[in-house]
Order: sequence, then structure tokens, then C-alpha cells
Amino acid sequence: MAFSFLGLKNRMLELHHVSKTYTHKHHHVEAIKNLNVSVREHEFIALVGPSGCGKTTLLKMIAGLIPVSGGEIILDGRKIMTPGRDRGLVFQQFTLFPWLSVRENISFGLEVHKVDKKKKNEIVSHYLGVTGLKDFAEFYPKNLSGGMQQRVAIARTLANNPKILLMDEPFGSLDSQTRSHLQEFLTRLWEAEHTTILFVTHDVGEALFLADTVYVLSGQPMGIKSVFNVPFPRPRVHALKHTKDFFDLENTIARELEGSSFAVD
Amino acid sequence: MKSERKVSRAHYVVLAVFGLLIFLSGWSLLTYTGFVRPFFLPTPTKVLSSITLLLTEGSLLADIFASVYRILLGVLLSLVVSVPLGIALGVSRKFEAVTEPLIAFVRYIPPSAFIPLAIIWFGIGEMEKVSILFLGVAPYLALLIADIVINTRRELVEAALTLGASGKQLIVNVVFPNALPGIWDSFRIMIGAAWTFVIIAEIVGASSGLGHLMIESQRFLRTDNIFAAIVVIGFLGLATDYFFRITYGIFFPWTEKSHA
Repeated sequence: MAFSFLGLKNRMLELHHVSKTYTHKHHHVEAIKNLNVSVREHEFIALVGPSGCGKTTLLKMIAGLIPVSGGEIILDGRKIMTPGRDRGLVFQQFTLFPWLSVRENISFGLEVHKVDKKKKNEIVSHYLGVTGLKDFAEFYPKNLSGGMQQRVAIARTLANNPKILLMDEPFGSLDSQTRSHLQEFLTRLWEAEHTTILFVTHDVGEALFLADTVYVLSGQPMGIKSVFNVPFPRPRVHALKHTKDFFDLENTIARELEGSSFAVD
Repeated sequence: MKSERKVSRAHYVVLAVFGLLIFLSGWSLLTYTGFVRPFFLPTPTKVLSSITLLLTEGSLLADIFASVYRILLGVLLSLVVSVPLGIALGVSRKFEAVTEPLIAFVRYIPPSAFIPLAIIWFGIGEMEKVSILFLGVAPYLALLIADIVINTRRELVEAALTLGASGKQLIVNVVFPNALPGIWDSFRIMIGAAWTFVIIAEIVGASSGLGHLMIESQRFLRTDNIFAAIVVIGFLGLATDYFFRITYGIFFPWTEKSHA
């Protein structure tokens, strides 16, 4: 099934018939098959799929870190071939540069692009403020909690002013309390900055709380099973998760997801 | 295993002193009782007085200086060559294909095997010692550094790429700083190995250095002076290790290993 929003002028990221095949000793494994997705500017999209269905592969293809086997990925009218700062990626694993302080990590992208010092300092202090990390600016990553490290990782990516923010289960390795804190943090951030976000997760509640549109993925090979528009108004607060509407929609999607998890051998 | 390795700092020092005391009492027991003749194994006090005598009236200070100077020169030269070589090896598969077999070939030849050739080429001066050290240290160091570079966490490289780093920036801003603590550690290990090479080179042909002191002492049957040189080398090794441990914490406060 193909879902797209062709005809809308402000679509920013388009995946056309994207597929990924791995070859192992003359044996072909189809990980992603004929995937079509469109993301509009300022949209917050969540992809929900069973673990191991190829979500990370998809994000890495959009980031340009691994090539597609078929189809094409278009960002702002241009085909994606290599990694670039127009697509920021936040990983599930902690990926701060351990030898750089929080401040230096946030300015890494600005540093490699030789942004002038005054502007760099402005941007970095803006994001230190936004992420509530001002007091930790000179800390090394090893002295930060997991939740703080992910906040720095988000700030580091946003400081680069990407057209789209790709997030690969960024809160997946955090404890549940920190995770819901960061979900609220990301909602506030999005409500303030309206960065286009493509967020991948296996947590239905997380997807519903954050996104405008939720795509349910099926596994092996990965494809889109269904799309849900999330009706909850913004600003969203944590209490939303305890309402009946939220609960009902979460259940509906979860059932959809169960049906899509591939047979385990 | 983990809990087994948990020992407080003070406790550690006590245990270390205890280990040293066992060794010293064993040595004392063998020598002061006359169980072993002083010609074969002098007493601790005799070795201590030999060190003092060699320091004040002999050439010990000059010999220490000569050996340390050779080691520093040889290892620093190796470092200058091996750091770029190791990084290139770790980064580029093509470069690895061209150079790795040659480096591995040289690495398997014991550096002592080059001594006769080095003496013919350079005589028995500094050049000979430094070239032996270089041949012994540089290939190992290059391969150690290549290994460190290859083990750069993939996610860090990917993060840098998505932040817009170019290939060159990836090496300068990610691979190199990430490898530095490992390089510093390898440097420490290679200084240990360098002692082996410099002593051999000095025993075979030299007019100064701790190896020269030992072979001279052997000619004059001065076992006590041989032991004096051995003890001095041991202490220099300890001091080197201490130096590297302290500097590691100062240079790399960001590593998990450092307690800054």
C-alpha cells in the first residue's frame, strides 16, 4: 500500500518506491520493499514498527549513511546520495563525542562548517538554554546522565539547523521516567521550533504523544500497513496519556501492530 | 570478577608494600645468611652501596642519561612516523593493502637481527642505537595505532557524518582525538619494549649506557654493579609508568578510565 501526499506544495521529504535488499552468499533478503512516504514541512511523523523490522535501516538510508537498493529519496527536490547536515540524525545509542564538553559537542556541526565565532556562540547558548543544560556546558559526556546525554545530542543536531530531524528510538535506552520527561521536552521543543521530525519508535504511546501522523509498519519486508492522524490538540502534556481517547487510539494501533509483527521462526 | 577487583587505594598501597617486602626478605634470607655467595648474588645493602658509589664516583648518571636519551629519540622518531602511518592504515583499506605485508614482515624480524647490519652501516654510535630502536618500535606502534583507529565506534563516525563532517574533518576531529588516549597507552607500552632493544644494542657495542655498564661489569666480574644497573632500570621503569599514569589523567580527563 502506498500513502503519499502528492499535490501538496510543501512536501519536504519524499520516499519513492524505496527498497533495501541484503545479499548474503547469493541469498537475497528483502528488508524494505516498495516504501512510499511523504513528509511535509513542520510535520511531526512517527513510524511505529516491531523491533528488527528495518526502521534503523530506513533512517540511515534517509541520512545517506547507507545506499538504497531501489527507488529514491528526495529532500527538497534533490535526490539524496550522501550524508549531509540538512538531515540531522539522533541515535538510540549515546553518540556524544566523549572528548568534547557539552558546549563543544553542541557546536561540532558549526565548527566543521566554520560558522563565525559570534554566531556560533549565539546558537550554542540558545540551545544550551532550550535544553536546560546551561549549568552543564563545560561537563564531559561521561559525567552526564543518559537523559542529559540525549538532550545534548538533540541540541547538537538542532544547532546545525537541519531541514529535517531524524530520530531513531532516541529515548529507547532510557528508564521510563526519564523517557516521559524527554517526551514532554521534545513536544515543547517542537511546539516552539516546528522542526520537521521523522521519529522512529516501537512504543505506540510515545508515537501518539509526540506525532501528528503515525505510520504503522509491517515487518519482513518492511512496508506501511496503515496511517493514523493524531487528533490530540497541542500543547500536549503528560496527562494526555491517561485520557480515554488516547488509551483507545493506543489500543487500536497496538492491535494493528500486533497483526503486523512477522512470524518468528 | 568485578567485586574481586574492588580494592581501596590505601589497601592497594599496603598490599604493594607487602609484595615488595616478601621479595626483599627472600633476597635478604638468601644473601645475609651466606647461603648464596656474594659473587653470584650480592646483598641488598651491597647493591645499594654500589648504586651510590656508581652515582657519585662512577659513570652511572651519564649511563642513565645515554640510555634514556636513546630511548626517547628512538621512540619519538617512531611516534612521528607511526602515528600518521597507523591512522592511514586504520582509515584506508587500500593503504593497508599496500603497506601492511611489509610492516608485518619487518615486525616479525627481531630488532636484534638488525644489529650487525646497523653496525656496518652506522658504526656503534647513536645512529645505530636509534635505528635499532626505530625498527623494533615503529612497526609495532603503527599496527597498534591502526587497531585503535579501526575500533573507533561506528556511531561516532556516523554522527559526525550526519553533522556534515568531510572525510578530512572526520580524521582530524573524530578519529584522531578518539585515538589519542590509546596512542598514549601504546607509547607507554613501547617505551617498555624499547628498554629491551636499547640494552641489547648497548651490550653488543657501545661506549656508554646501562647496557654498556652491565657488560663492562661482567668483564670485571662486578656482579654487584650488574645488579645495580638492573635495579636502576627497574626504578626507571616504575617512574615511567607513574609518569604516564599521571599524564593520562591530565591529558584525557574525559575518558572513563581517568578519575578527574
